[in-house]
Amino acid sequence: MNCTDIENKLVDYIDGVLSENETKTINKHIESCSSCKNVFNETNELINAFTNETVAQPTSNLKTSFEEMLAQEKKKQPKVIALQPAKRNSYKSVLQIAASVAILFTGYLLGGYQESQNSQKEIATYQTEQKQLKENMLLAMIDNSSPSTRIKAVNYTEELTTPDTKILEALIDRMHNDSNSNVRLSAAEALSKFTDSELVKTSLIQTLTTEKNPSIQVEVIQILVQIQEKRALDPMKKILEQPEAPDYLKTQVNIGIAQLI
Amino acid sequence: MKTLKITLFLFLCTFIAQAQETYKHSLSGIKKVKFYTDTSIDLTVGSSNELVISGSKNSYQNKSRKEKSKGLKALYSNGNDNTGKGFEVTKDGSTLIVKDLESFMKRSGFKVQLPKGIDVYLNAGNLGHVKVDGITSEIEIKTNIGDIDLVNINGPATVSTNTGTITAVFSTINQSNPISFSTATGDVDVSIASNTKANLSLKSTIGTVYTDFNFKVKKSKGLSPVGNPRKISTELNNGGVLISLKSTTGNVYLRKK
Repeated sequence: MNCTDIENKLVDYIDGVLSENETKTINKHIESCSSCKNVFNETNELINAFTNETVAQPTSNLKTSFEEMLAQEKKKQPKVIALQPAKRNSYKSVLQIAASVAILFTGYLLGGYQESQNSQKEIATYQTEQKQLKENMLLAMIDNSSPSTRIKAVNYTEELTTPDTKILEALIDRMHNDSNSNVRLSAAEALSKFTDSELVKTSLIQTLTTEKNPSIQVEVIQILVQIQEKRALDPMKKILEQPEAPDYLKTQVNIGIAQLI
Repeated sequence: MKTLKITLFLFLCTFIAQAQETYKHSLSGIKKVKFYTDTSIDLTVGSSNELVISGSKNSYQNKSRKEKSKGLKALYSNGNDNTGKGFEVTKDGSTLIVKDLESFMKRSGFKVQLPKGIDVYLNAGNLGHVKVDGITSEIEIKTNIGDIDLVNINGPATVSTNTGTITAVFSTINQSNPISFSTATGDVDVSIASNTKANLSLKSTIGTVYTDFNFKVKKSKGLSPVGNPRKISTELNNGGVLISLKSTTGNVYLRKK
């Protein structure tokens, strides 16, 4: 233990709170070291002076004057005005509640609307994707080398409510160009459901001039008569002039002409 | 003695029939066989995986004439005889095309044997009839005036003729693809098992549709114009593959087998 350590612990030494060993070493050190002995004596004196000093009591005068001052100070203070909550008109608060409810409700509705719009979009894209898939499958099938597969594809189109132009063109191509007359006949039947389209109407009229199979000719005449297509009259009259046209076909043509005029 | 003579005669006949030249072609890698002819075709099922054409005896070919053509090659305007039997056989991918080069006057029909699982296309030209027995895969037939007679088939079948009559007896019906028969002036006569599942579309523009099946016909809505497409559509045993039978002026018969 050097001198600074001893000085730091002197207060504790005087108070007598140190361990026996520490007390002994400090005792020995103070005996030998004059400077530390001085410090010990000074500290001891100071502590003794503190303990001996009596606590000064305020006089009764002081106490009364303090209370007077306090009273005076209180008087000086401006009067405190209590802040009254502003009078609310009852209809206003009702409106406010209504407005907040309305905001909440609009928020809810808006959220719901956006959500449903999103889901509707999703459903719509899903549906168009599915339709696209079906149409692509159909377009692939309609060119198949097996005639029964082509007929199957043609029959699928009858399930479509609004086939796009690609499908209609594929059907018209089958009706005009398929090597198998049953496929041509099925295509004509399928197209009879889409006679709202001008493309389909003109293609049916064209079939009358190109088709040589009487079964298909009869079918197409019936379709055109049903939709009252007057433009079919000319090609129908031309069939009557054909020497190779069988009698029953001419009969059908005549019945058709009678209904169109 | 008389019976002996008949037996001998029959024996001789079969011997001659056996002696008739047959043509064989392997069908490995072939899925479909197409025939083009102007004469009648009789198609049955053979046991081997090959095409066998027989009975193509030339009616005009007598012995002395055969002698004359010895060492010579027949020439045809419509193709190249690569079989020695008046047929041109060519391969297009997995399709074998058999083209009859002889005139219908000279060849009065021929017989064909094929394995039953092979797809066939038969075009009997202007005058030929077609008979098919036992082919279980897809059949496509086209004739002009020839009759079409189908037995033990399953479909899919696509048959069209101008004035011929179509007769068909189906064993079980393949549900994969539709069956469609159409004739302009002939009849359509089809027999199917009573438990067949099908969507029926029966139509005769001028003739009548007959059946011994008991089903309700979906009535067309509203007033129909004169000469309306008199199509009968109905479901048989809750529906299935489409069977479409059409005749413009003939009748349509649908029978229970």
